[in-house]
Parts: sequence; C-alpha cells; structure tokens
Amino acid sequence: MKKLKKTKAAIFHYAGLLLVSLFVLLPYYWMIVTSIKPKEEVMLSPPTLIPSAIDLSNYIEVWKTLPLAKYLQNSLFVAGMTTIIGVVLAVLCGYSLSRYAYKKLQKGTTILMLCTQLIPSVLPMISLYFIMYKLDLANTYIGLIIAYSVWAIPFCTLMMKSYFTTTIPHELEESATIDGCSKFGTFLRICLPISIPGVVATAIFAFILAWNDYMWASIMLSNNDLKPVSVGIYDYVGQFGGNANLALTMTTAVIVTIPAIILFAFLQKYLISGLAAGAVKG
Amino acid sequence: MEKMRKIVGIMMILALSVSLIACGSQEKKENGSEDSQEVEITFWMQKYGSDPSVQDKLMQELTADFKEKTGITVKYSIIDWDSALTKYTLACTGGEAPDVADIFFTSSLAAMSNEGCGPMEINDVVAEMGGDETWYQAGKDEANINGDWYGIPWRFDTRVLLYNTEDFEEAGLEVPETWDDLIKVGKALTKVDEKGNITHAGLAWYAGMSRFDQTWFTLLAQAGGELMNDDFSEFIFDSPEGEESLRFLVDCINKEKICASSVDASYDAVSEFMAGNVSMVYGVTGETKTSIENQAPQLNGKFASAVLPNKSGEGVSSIAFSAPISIFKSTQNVEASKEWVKYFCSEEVQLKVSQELALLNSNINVMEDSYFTEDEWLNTFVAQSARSQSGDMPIPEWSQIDAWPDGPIPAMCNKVVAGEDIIKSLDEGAKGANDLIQE
Amino acid sequence: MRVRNKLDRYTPVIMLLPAVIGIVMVSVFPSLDAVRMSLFDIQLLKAESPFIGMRNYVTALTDPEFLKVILNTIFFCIVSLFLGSVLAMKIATQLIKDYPGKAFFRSIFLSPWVTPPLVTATVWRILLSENFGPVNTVLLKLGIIDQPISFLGSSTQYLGFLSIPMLVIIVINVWSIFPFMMVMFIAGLQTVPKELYEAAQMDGANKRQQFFRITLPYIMPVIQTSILLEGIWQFNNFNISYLVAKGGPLNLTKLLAVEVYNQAFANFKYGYASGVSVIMVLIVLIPSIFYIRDSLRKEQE
Repeated sequence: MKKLKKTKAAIFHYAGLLLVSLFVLLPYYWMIVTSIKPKEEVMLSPPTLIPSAIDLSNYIEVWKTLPLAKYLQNSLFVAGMTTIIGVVLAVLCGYSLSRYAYKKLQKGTTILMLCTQLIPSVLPMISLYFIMYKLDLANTYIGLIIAYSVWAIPFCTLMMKSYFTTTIPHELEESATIDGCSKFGTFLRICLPISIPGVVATAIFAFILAWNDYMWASIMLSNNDLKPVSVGIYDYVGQFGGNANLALTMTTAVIVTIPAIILFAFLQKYLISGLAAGAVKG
Repeated sequence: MEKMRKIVGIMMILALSVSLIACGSQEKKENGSEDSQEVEITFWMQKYGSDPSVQDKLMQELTADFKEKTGITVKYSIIDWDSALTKYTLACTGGEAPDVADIFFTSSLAAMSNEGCGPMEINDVVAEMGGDETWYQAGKDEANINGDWYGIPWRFDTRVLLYNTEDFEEAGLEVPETWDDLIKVGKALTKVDEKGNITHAGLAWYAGMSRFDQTWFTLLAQAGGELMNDDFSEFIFDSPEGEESLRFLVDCINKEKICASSVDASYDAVSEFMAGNVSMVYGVTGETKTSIENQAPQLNGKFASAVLPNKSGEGVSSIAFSAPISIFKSTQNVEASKEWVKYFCSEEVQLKVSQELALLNSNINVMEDSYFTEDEWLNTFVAQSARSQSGDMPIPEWSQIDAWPDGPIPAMCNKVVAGEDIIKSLDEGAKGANDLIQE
Repeated sequence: MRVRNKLDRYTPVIMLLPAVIGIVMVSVFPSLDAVRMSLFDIQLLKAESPFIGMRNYVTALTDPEFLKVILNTIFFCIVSLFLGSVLAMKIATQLIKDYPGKAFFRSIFLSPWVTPPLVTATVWRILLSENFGPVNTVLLKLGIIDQPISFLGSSTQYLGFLSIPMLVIIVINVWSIFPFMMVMFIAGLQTVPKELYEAAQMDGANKRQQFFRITLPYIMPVIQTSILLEGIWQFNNFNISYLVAKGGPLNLTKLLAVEVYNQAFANFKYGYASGVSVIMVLIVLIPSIFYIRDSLRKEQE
C-alpha cells in the first residue's frame, strides 16, 4: 500500500513538473527550432512544428549581420560593473543598517529604501537623462552603470540587512571588538566571509536587473558601439515595426538567452540559500 | 564555504578583467581621435534595409572616402526606429545632439527646439546643390518651413502594389487599375472554406503591428480626397472621400471578404505574402523585394510590383514620404557639417545609398538613372512617384496626430477596422486632429 | 590613534553614505522634479509652460479612457500576482521534496527570469501569431478550435475592459515573473522545521491539512513580502504591455506605465505624463503602507 502511494505521489510530482516545463520551455523550443530550420521553411504558414532538416547557417550569418559579439561584451561589462558597484554599496549600507538599526539615521535610511521601491522607473527618466547629459554622461557606460546600480540598491540593501541581522550573532562581533578590531575590520574580516551566500544572491539580482534593462539603455545610448544585447535585438526591427528577418532574430535570441540560462543553472543553489537567510527570515 | 569563496572570487576577477578590456578599448578610441588635430563630426541615421551589416559597411566606405577627400572624420551612429523620435526630441530640447542627422517630422522638431538647438536653416547649401527644383514636391514639403530649407531631402518612399505573378497567371488575371477591378481580382483569388473563413486571401493591407494609417492615406488619395486644406490650417478629411476611403478599407475585409488584415499585433502582411497566404499586398515599400529574397527564396521570380489602382484608374494613386538630412544648430563645426551634407546628398552618393539600402530617392535626377528606370521592380516606383501626393503633413503637431498607436488618425483607422461605426470614428478623428492644431 | 578612533566612530555613517547619496541623486531628485513638472503644462511643442496646479490630474482622472487604463493595470497586477504565486507555490512545494532532478527543474524554471524582456515579447508574439504560431497550429490539429484564434487582435470587450489580448499578456507576464516568487517560496519552505510535520503526521493530519495549517502560516511573512514586492513591480510594469502589442489592440492592453511613456515620448506632454506617474505612485502607496509598516514593525522585534 505504501509503495503504491509513493509511486502515485512520484507520478503526480513528475507529471506536474513536466506540464509546467512545457509551458516554460515552449518559447525556447520555438526559438531554437526557428533558428535551425532551412530558409524556405521559416516563413511557412501554418508552420512546421519540427524542422524537416537542420540548417545551422544562421548561426554563422548572425555574427556577420550584427556586431553581436560587441553587444554581448557591452552587456557583460555593464552588468558586471553594476553588480560590483551595486553589491559593494548594498553590503556596506546593509551592514550599517543591520548593526545600528536603533539609530535615527539608519531608521530613516531604511524607510528611504522601502519608499524608493514604489517609484515606477518611468517617472524619473526624463529628468535623470538631462542630469546625466549635463554631467556629460549621456551615451556612456558610466551613465548606464550608475543608474542600474542605484536601482538595484534598495532591494539588495534590504536583503543584506536581513541577512546580517539573522545570521551574524552579536557575540562574534563583541569578541572581535574586545580583541581591538576596528568596526570596519570586524565587518571585513569576520562578518563578510560568512555572508557570502547572501552576497551572491544580491549579486545575481543586480546582474539580472542590468542585463535585462531595455528602456534606459535605449534612451541613453546613441552610439552603436555601446549598445547592450537587450537593445541590440531591435536591430532587426524595421521602420514600421515589422520584423525584418525572423530566422536571424530567433538565432540572436538563442545566443543571448541560452548561455545565461546555463550559467544560472549553476548559480541557483547559492541564490536560494542566500535568499533563504536574507530575504526570507527578515 | 571555501568553494563558494572561490567561485565568487573567480567571478569578480572575470568581471574586472572584462571591464578592463572594455575600458581599454574605449579609451583607445577616444585617444585615437584626440591625438590628431582633425575635425570630427557626428552623424545619426536610422536603420534601413533588412541586413544591418550592409548599412554599416556602406557607411564605413562612405566615411572613409569622405575623409580621403576632405580630411574630415565622420562618426556615424545607426539608430533603431523605436527610439529615434525620442532621441531627436531630447536632442532638440537640450540633450545630446549630433552635428548632422537623418530626421523626420521636421516641423515638429523645429517647433519644439530650444534656443540654439534643432535643425538649422541651410538655404545656401540648397543653392549650391542645384536649387529648389532638384527634388520631388514631397521632399520640398517636408524639408521646408515657412519657405526656408531646413534639410536636404534624401530618401523617398512611395507605395506600390505587390502581387504574386504565379497566382495571377493561374487565374488568368490582369493587374487591377481601378477599385472595382481590385475587388473582382481579389474575389477571384480568395479561397474560402466551408465555414466561410478565408484560407487564402486575395489582398492584405500593408500593415505591421496593426498600423493602418498609411494604408488609409493611400486610399484617401485614391478617392481623390485630401488630409488638409491648402494652407495646412485645417484637417478636412471628414469629407465624402474620407468616408468612402474608410469604408473601402473596411469593406474589403468584412463585406467583400477579399482581405485578411486585422488589428492583431502579430499579423504582418508581407510575412503572410511570403508564406503564400496572400496574393496581393497593398502599399509596399522599395525594400520589400530584398526582404522577400532574403527570407523566402522560394518566391524568387514569382512576384512583381505594379502601380496601385485608384478609384477612377487615372491620377493620384499613392502617397509619398520624404525625409531630410539636417544640420543641428548645436553643432560646433558648421562648415564641416555642410561639407558632409553636400557629399552625402550628392547624386553619386545618393545613387549608391539607394542601391545598397533598397531605398528610393527624393532627388529627381537620381531617380532618372537607369538603375531605377531599367529595373522592373524599381521602375514601378518611378512611375508611381509621378502619381503620388504627400503622406506627411508639414505641421509641428503632425507627429502627435499621426502618433502610433494613440494619435487621432491611427486610432480612427484601428477603431474602424475593429468594427466601429465609420462616420462616428471619422468625425472623432477629424475633431481630435483639429483640436490638436488649435491648442 | 585619534584619527583612527574618529574614523572608527563614524564608520557606520560612512558605510551608509554612498548608497544613500546614490539614491537621492538618481531616484529622489528626478522624482521630485517630475512631481514639479506635473504641476505645469509642459508640452514641448508649446513655447510656454504655465503653472496649472492640479489641472493635469483633473484631466486624467475625469477621462474615462484613463480610468479604463487604471482598471486594466489593477486587473493585470492582481491576476498576474494570483496566478503567479499559486503556480510558484505549487512548484516550490514539489521542488523541496527529495526527488532526483530537483536542481535540473529548478534551473529550467529560472529561465524566464534571465530572458531579456525584448526576447520574451518577440518570441511570445510569434508563438501566438494566427498563421505563424505553433499554439494555433497545435490547437487546430487537435481539433479544439476550427479557425486560428487571434490572441493579440481580438477586440471584443467583456465587462467593459476585459479582452483576450489582456488575458494573453497576463499569461506572458506570469511566465516571466513566477521564477522570482518560486525562488522566494523555496527559500521560505526550506526554513520550516521538519519536526513540525512529523508531529502533525503523528497526530493524523493529512498532507493538505499540513500545508494549510503548518506550512502556510509559518511562511506567511515570506509570502507577504514577495507578493507586496511583486505587486508593486507588476503595477509599474512597462515592458510586457509595450513590447508585445504597444498597448493595443485599441488600447485594450494598455497599462499605466505605457500611458506615461506615450504621453511623454509620442505626445511630448511632459507635464501630463509626470502627473500620470505621480498618480501611479499614489495608487501603489495604499497597499505599500502596510508593507512599510510591517517591515518597520519587524525591525522592533
């Protein structure tokens, strides 16, 4: 009896997951299939669900029609820098907010962080653009990175704050201070090393925020050399919104998303454990 | 713990190294141009053609050639259409601006410009390039504000009929020249299933992302109507011709059932043509041929272009758009900018540009070149140019009125295609447009 | 020594400052500037920008089309949240069990989160295309429908604002947002002590009762935080609505953020657009006050 129940539960488990996987993977399946179809088969209606033959020429062609390597490099650079800056500032601030939560300045900052979450990104965009322009930062990497870092800070700070609050016992710090360690030294040498999961989770969040942004990048940048991948896909869209080349667009989509997915397959463990202690308990 | 530390450490090193490499390459570029004491100007142009690398190569060639001839470096940027208007708006209101640009909605940009920003008057350049009559009327309209030239017209766009020659041969049909012919031909080519659903449509309006305004402008012109009065002070399309053209737009879909267009954002007329679902597309642009050749090689040799039919069979049957190359007032290098404009808009270069990017040209002399007149596909466009009227109105509010999807005119077209009352929508559209001018 | 002591004393402030300065300059100032702009009639095509006080707000709130957009946005937000969290919770409860393939499935389900919105919109638009999309093809082949469904073009309205395109973009949005909630829920579920379940099982409680009486109450804080956060983010959602159908057909899928964008960048009415974005903040403020109050209360504990 128990075995039957267990098998039933297992079937239910996997069936459910497979069903949802279908839903989740459908777009990726279509992207891949369209990109490997032979040219004559792409614009068929109704479309063939499985390609009749595999033609990989799109994967060679796409590097010639778009400076895709440059776009990927740009995205990586901008997202990477955003992660570094955003995480550093969020960790420092989160630590301060966690350890000195009773002080007025820290309380005020926490409220500020909470309130900033409410602001829709469209609201400050025009004014922010002009500020950037006056500072000669329009059309630069720096302009993008500053905005992304700041947009990631509220959530990351609050997460790090909860993380520090729940995982670091006061005794640890007290013993360090008694030993003559400065406040910053305590932070750097004692607290930070054991907070790595939280930092990783925060870093992932900041990276994705910068990697996925479309609007701010398209407003700020006019120089093709600086274009990130999230905007670069639009190179295929013509003057009237029509798609200029379906197969190449899908090929670009594959090249842009699949590596990111594989990377995150490795990182998901740290993401979850980081969030578990940080955003969840707090 | 140790493992995680290592991974994080490696990630940080990777991120840092990528950033250093990128920084390095960017700095090199800046240093490169600072070292030499040359003049450098920036040029923004929108994306054209279905292969982005073709435009990039062309611009590299042209700027290299220009540099050889004049010593001036031109840094070009290819801008995507979705953000083009926003960028130019910001450029005219104090944001980052190029020296020279491929603009549109000229009078809107000029009207919103702050002091010292926006397109500048270049009557002298026009004089040097042959004077007023060098370009088509649509070009003149778009580039002129109150009699002064604010840009040199370059690309030209007029719309023609695309049709599948195989389908026509099979059915033994001739290309239609009047609206009645169009309906007859459409009916002969449309196939319907038992339930009355169209399985193969004779016709599709040229619309991507459910944008019907330009198709309607064509029909309005074909009915003999006008969008505005002669001095561009009032919208007068709530006229019998306006009603007739809107009705024709909708009837072909609903009543005559020869057209499969809809307000569905994923419906793309040319894609349908490539899939063989449609025999005619009404109002395509010049680059459609290259697009079909690239994406649907199975149709090669089986399609052609023809002048659009109109109500009577003679006279205006299409609309034309033109856009200017303009110099921005905020430029630090007026002379260099003028040199570039003269070079880029010269007949020789314009012919090359038109060939590479599958564009038509506003310069009458360029269009008379054998490249256009002896090519079957392009020849149609030359003939159609002589039978076209302006599709963009030279008033500052035009960009708002024709704003897609919310402007009064596109909204009117969409409502009507979705089934709302024609007269009511027409009146609302005209009122909306006129209100915007009066404000 | 003296300097080091002073530095040490001010360390907490110094650690705090860069983040705060960044936020004030990049988020707070521009937002306040936008509020200022909303009180003026700023239109780029007009030479003057007179002060008009609350007139932008009055125009917006008395426009029935605008009220429809608010309705769209609230509906979009609530339904996306509901479907997304139910889906996320169902998956999360399965994915903490010790079945093989746990990591594999978790990775797959994370994919939508790392996909750029432009890719999401473009691919889904093709998937749902009448004549080119596999969804319609499969439905036709299975005989479920006789003719292709125009997922993004059907303009019939139900109850005054509902339409198939609206439901469609909600589905696309759920696809896009459930990974984040799933991850939060998995993290939360992992903190529930196993002993509670064992005790309940000995008392004869079945799985269902265990879930609703033990699990749910225990992770309620996580659920609340995730839902409030996602709620705010979805209310302000711009990408899905704009990139898939630009708010169409006939504005049936238009959300508030898209309205702000259109007014600012197509109609050049910066004053009015700023006013709409301020209205957005005010609407979202109401449920958020609870979030802020709760978070502050947790502080005290």
